[in-house]
Amino acid sequence: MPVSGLTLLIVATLLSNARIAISYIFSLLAAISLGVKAGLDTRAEKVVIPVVDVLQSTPVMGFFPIAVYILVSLFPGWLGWEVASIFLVFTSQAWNMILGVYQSTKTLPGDLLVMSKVYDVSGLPFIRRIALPAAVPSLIYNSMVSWGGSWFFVTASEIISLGSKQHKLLGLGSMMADSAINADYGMLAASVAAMIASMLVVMLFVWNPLLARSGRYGFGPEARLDVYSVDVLVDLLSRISRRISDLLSPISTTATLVGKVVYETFRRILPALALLVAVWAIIVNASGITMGLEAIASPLLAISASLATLFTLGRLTLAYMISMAWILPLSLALMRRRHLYMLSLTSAEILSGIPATIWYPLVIIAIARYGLPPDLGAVLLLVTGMQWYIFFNAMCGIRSVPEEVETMSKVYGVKGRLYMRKVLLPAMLPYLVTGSNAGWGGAWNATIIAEYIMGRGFNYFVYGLGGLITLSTLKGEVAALVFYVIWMAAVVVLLNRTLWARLYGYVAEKVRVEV
Amino acid sequence: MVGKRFIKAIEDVSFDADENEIVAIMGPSGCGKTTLLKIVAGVEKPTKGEVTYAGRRIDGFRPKVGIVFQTPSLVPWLTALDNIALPLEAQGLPREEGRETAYRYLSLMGLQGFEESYPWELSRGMNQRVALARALAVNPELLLLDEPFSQLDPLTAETLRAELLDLWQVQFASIQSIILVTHVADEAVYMADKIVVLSVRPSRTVALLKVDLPRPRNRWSEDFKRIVDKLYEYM
Repeated sequence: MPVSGLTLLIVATLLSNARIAISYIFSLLAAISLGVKAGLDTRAEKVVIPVVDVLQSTPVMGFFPIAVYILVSLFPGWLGWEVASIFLVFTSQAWNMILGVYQSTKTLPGDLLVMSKVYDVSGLPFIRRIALPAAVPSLIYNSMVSWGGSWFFVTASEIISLGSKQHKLLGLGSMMADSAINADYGMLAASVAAMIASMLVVMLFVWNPLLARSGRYGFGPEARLDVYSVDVLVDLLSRISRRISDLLSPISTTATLVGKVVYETFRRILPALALLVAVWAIIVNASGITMGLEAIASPLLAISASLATLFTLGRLTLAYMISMAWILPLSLALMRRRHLYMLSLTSAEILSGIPATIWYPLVIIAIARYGLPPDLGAVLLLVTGMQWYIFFNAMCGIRSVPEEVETMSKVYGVKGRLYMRKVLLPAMLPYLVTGSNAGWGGAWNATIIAEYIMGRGFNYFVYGLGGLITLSTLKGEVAALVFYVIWMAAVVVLLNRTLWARLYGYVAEKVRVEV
Repeated sequence: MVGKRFIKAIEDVSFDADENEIVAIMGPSGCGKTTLLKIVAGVEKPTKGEVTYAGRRIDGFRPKVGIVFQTPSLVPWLTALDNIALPLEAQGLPREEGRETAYRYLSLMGLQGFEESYPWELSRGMNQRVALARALAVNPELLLLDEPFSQLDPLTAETLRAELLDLWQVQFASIQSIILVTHVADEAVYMADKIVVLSVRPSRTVALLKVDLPRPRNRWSEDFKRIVDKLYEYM
């Protein structure tokens, strides 16, 4: 590889990482401010949680052009494109982190809440001393999922088309795309390697030391993690992590200040924003809307949407069952095999980071060649869009089994399925609920790729809500697109109000220990 | 599936705690003693009735209280010193100043050398001392004790009781009165000036007893035994 190519690769790697990091800082602020607020204040909860649910499930990629259009006109020159890219990455990172903080705040032990009330510990001291430390474990694990998942979006957002304009940002994503088009397989391999190396570095130098130190936070036992035990490395890591935990305090201060502003603006501009998008859609696509309205007037669209919802729900349920089928037994296995725990986390972090766009077309081709059922591909992709949220939250959950209970189980020989049912599952429950909620959100989001994909020489479509959304995007039927997206949002809200809200309530009641 | 069950815990309970008085509230478990204490602390609202403090209704206004529960309810990731300093910090005291005050109370409870220990490194009794130090450090007018000795071993419990009474008798700090919730007759008679006996839920006041014995009280004196027996009769 020529030197200039190597320099370019290094710069691209740094830039892609920087986009993820900048977006991550915003996600962290949003998570701490909105998550704590929603966990404590039932009024805020009723606004924040449904909005998060809709936003995490809405196929952002579908709306990305609108966001780009707005951001590019707001910020001058290259800045607009950069902001657009970071914004897209943010939409992939923030939601599960907000939900994680929300869950840990909502399940804070009752005696700590009463204590805080009696001694007037509220506002900033409450966040800094109680809510944030309690959220640390969940925040770290959800950060790991978010960081991994960001790679899909950062690579996708580095080539942005807006109408006839196409803008390319220097980064690993655009390098991968370029080298694939130019058939420069050396460069392609190098950029994929650079991406995997980036993930490893972040895992080793950020998440790993943070995990090792997170044992003192949360309500689980002290850290029992076997962090890679190279003494020099551990020493170095713990020194770095001490720096990082020092950083936590200014971050939480900022978060509280930003939190108020974010939450208030959030609440106020939301209706305005919805209106703006609607107006934009109408102005740009007036004719399309009229056509679409006629289509809606005919009950056909609603019928097709209902039918598609059923199909998609079926695939999602299947994907959920597949995810649970490997995650639960693995949790049980890892609970007692601590030495494999960090290894699994690292592997999962890397696997979760590999963008689906790289391997999904291959799966589709294989399905076509071997005459497998077409639904298999879609379900497989949905699994990958769903499982990591559940997996990382489950990994956080297995650390929350109290030490005494663990000892008791060992003494009385409680193991296997009994242990799973009576000890591990109840302890993991809050984390599983959060992971499942975020996982379903991610999977709804993934349906637009899973159910419709176009490749060189093939066209893959399975009937479902996500497929219909992609199809109407491609055909330029804006009205139908808006209709399907709103329909999907409605389905998600309905499911959340009936299913997840109940589960959270149930879990909060079960887990909270009243004095 | 999820719903709130409303349980009528307290029906008709009424008593006064005067200045320089230790009031014990006694009753069988589940008679709403803790709820009562939370209402007095101002963190829970009664559906009916009212609590007044120095002539003012506790409702929005809250007297300065210190509280100790059965369990220490310490923040697991804060050291003993930081746990004590937390309410002070919340009051807006600068961190160093808060920690200095906290240290005074930590020493008062005999915990020198453990200021940087975490709750999981300390024994139950020591953690309860930290909780007591935290309650005293806020300079409370009213000290609320919710069976604070019930989960300690008898020896530790006895020492802590005696220490608390010593502090009380030297008119330590700003404490005007103490409300002690307990289900042990012996403890009530040993500590209180007045004992309110409650019935099972929904609880009512069954009896109101004055204890005029001089302190330190002798558990083996006839007077002491007589009051304890009387308490058992009511319960």
